[in-house]
Amino acid sequence: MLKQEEREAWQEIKEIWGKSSQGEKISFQFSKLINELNNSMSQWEKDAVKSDLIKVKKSWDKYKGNVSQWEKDAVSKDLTRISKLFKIFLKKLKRKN
Amino acid sequence: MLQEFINYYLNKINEISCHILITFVTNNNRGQKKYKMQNQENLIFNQILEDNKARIYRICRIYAVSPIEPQDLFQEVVFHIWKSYSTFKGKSNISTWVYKIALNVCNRSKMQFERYNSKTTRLESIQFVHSETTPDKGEQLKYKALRDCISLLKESEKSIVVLYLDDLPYKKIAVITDLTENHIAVKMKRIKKLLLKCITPKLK
Repeated sequence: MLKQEEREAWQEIKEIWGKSSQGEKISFQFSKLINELNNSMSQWEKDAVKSDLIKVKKSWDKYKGNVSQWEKDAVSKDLTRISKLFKIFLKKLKRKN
Repeated sequence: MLQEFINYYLNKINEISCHILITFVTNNNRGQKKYKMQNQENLIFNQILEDNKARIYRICRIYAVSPIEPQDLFQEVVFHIWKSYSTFKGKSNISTWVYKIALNVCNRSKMQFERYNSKTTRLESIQFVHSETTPDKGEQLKYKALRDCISLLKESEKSIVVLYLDDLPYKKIAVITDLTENHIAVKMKRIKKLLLKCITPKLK
């Protein structure tokens, strides 16, 4: 096919595509929409969130005020060290493969 | 010894994560401020839908295969945009993010419907009315031809051509599809050939 013909055909395709959403008018009732979307969250999701919140509350009561900043810093330092070591280990493992 | 070590770290991780979560919850529970913010977020969400509805619908029409209707897919996309809206960090352009969600939902739709034999969420607040500028029969036939030809493409090619027809540059298509610009350019060459070969006799 000649380049000019190709270009024209492609232009027509683009026009068809552009018009493809014109057949239907979409309108939203925004005041209702948010409520509907919130309600369509599945029961499973709602239950999962509830149980997570209960767990968080319980563990918070247990540890409330018992964790010092020093402890938090120490743990985060340890965790970065462990993750670094883990990354090195993974790199070596990849090289061997 | 090892068990103690593990327990110690698990406890510590738990404490920190609890602390972070509670801070997050309390920060989010500041009465009016929260209400105002939510209101603002809802307005932005509404605007996103208004700005992108035609784009989303065009994609849905391509991917909707009986018994799935384009309207069903459209509502599913809106639902997923709402669900992931809170996690949108503004790192990418909003339309890029919308395209990503729309393509993901549409790509998964067939599998999801087959597996769960499920019905989509029907939202009454979204209405589809036949427009006054309904395309005539000739235009409808042309669209059918285009749709049929696109359906012959592979799934990955379908996503690319849909974005290309929406006039997106290769750079943006690459971001949405997680491919490189070069890869898109190569694929587009092949797709154009296939599509033109398929559609040209049908348009004459």
